[in-house]
Amino acid sequence: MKLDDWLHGQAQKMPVMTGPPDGADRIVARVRVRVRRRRLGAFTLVAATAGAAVWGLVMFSSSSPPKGVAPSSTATAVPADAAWVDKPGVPFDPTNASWHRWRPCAGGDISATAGRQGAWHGNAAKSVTLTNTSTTDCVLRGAPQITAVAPSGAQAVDPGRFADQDVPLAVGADALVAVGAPAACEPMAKDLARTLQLSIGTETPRSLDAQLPLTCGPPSLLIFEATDEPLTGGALSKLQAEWQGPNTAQAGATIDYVIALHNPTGADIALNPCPSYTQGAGGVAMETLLLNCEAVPVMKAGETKTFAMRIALPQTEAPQLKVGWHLEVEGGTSTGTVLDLR
Amino acid sequence: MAERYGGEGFEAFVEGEIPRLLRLATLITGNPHDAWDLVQESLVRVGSRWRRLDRTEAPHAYAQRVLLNLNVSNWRKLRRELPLAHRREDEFMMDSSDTDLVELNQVLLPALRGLAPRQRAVIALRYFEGLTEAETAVRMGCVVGTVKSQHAKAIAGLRERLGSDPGAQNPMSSGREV
Repeated sequence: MKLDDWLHGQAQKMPVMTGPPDGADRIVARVRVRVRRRRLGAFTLVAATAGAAVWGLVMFSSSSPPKGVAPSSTATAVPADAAWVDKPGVPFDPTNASWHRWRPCAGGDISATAGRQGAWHGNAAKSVTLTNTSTTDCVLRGAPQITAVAPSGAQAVDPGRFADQDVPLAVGADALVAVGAPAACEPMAKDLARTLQLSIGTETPRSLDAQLPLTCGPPSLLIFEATDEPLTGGALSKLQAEWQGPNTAQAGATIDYVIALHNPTGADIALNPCPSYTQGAGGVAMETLLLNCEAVPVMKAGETKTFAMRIALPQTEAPQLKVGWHLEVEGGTSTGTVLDLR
Repeated sequence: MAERYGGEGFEAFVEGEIPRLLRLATLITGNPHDAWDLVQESLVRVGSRWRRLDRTEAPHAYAQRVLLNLNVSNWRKLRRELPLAHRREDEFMMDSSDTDLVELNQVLLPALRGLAPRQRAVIALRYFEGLTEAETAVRMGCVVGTVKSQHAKAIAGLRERLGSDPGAQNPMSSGREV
C-alpha cells in the first residue's frame, strides 16, 4: 500500500476523541477566570503586586507637597448602614497571602452534584462537582472519601495521589472530582456500581447516582482539582468599593464620606475575620482602621452596604488633593476621588 | 454565564470543537495527554478574545492556528529546557482494544513523533483535515513553498520509519503480540 493511501486510510479510521469529563466546562470556567482577572483592573494589580505602600504612592500623590495633618472638628455625621468606628486595624501583609490559612471545609459547607458520565483514558468515568455553599472560604484537605456500591458489594475508591491534595474553595467556587474504573474488558456491565457514596471529613456519606463497571478493575480517583483557579484573597477580594462624598473640602479639615461596599457575587460574604482598611490623603495621613463589622457582619449576595468614614485632610496649598481608600485584604478593592480644595 | 465574558456561542463552539482539535493535537503532539493540554490552552486563548475575534476568519480556523502555534512554541521551550526529556510509553493511554487503534497507537503516532513539529502539522492538516496546500499554508502562517518542502521532508521521514508498506507495520495484522 502506498504511503499516501495509507495516510488517507488512517484519517478515515481515526476515532472520534473526546476530552475528560466536564472538559468543556473547565475550559469555559478558565476563560471566565481569565477575563475576570483582566477586568479587575489596575488597582488590584498595584495592591497585589506591590503592597499598600506602592498603592499609597499611586493613590495619594498630590501636585504639591502637603504641609502636615491638622485635624479639625468640622466633620458631620453622614447617613450610612454602618457608623464610623475609630478602631486601629492591621495592614495586609502580602507575604502572608495564601489560602493555606483557610479553614478546612466540613461536610456541611459543601454541596455535591453528580455530573456527566463519560470515558477518559480507558476508564469509564463519573464526574461530581463539589461547591462551597458556605459563607466563608475553606480548603478541602485531601480528596473526599468515596465508595462505589455495586451488587457484589462496596469498593473504596482509591484516592491515589490525591489523598493529601489540598483544594482551596472560595465561597461559591467549585471543585471537580472524577471517579473512574477500567473499561477495557468484557463483559463490563456484569458488576455495575450504580451509587457513589461520598463524604467529606467525618460527615455521613451522601449518595450520588453513577454507572461504573467494577469488573475490569478497582475504581480510582482520576481528577480532584478546583474548577476555577483560586483568586487570591478569597471572598473578601471580590467586594467592590465606591467612594461617595463631597467633591470639595478645606485643606486641614476633617471630612466625612461614605464607602459603598458591594458584593457582586451570588453568595453571601461574611466579614469574618473583620477586614481593615487604609485611608489616606495627599500621600500622607495614611491610617489603617477596622471596618465596622459589628454593624454589618455579612455582605449578602448582590447587596450594597454603606460604611461611614472620617478622614483628616492635611494642610496643603495645592488646588486639589487625592484621597484614597483600600480594603486591606489580599487583592482587596480600592477607590478614591480628587477633592477640589477651597 | 456566557454573556458575562462576551462569550456568546463560545460554550457551544467549545463543545463542538473539542473532538476536531483533539484529533489534530493528538497527531501533532503524539500523545493524548499533551494533546488535551494543548486543546485546553488553545480554547482558553480563543475564549479570552472571543468577542474581538476577526469574524472574517472562521473560529475553527483561528483555533487551529492558535493550536499549531502553541505546539511549536511548547516544543521549542521543551527542547530548550529539557533536551533529553522523553515521555514514558506507558503514559500513552489511548484505548487500544481494536485493530485500527492499535495501528494508530503503535504505527502512525510513533512514526509522527519522529518528525519535526511543522512536518507533523503538515501531515495532520493535509491528510487528516483534508486541507489544500494553500489552506495549510494559511493555517501554519507560512508560504505554500514551505508547506511543500515540509511535506516532502515529512513523507521522506515517514517512509524511512514505516518502509514501503506501512500497513504491514500493524502488529495486529502481522501476528505480533500487542
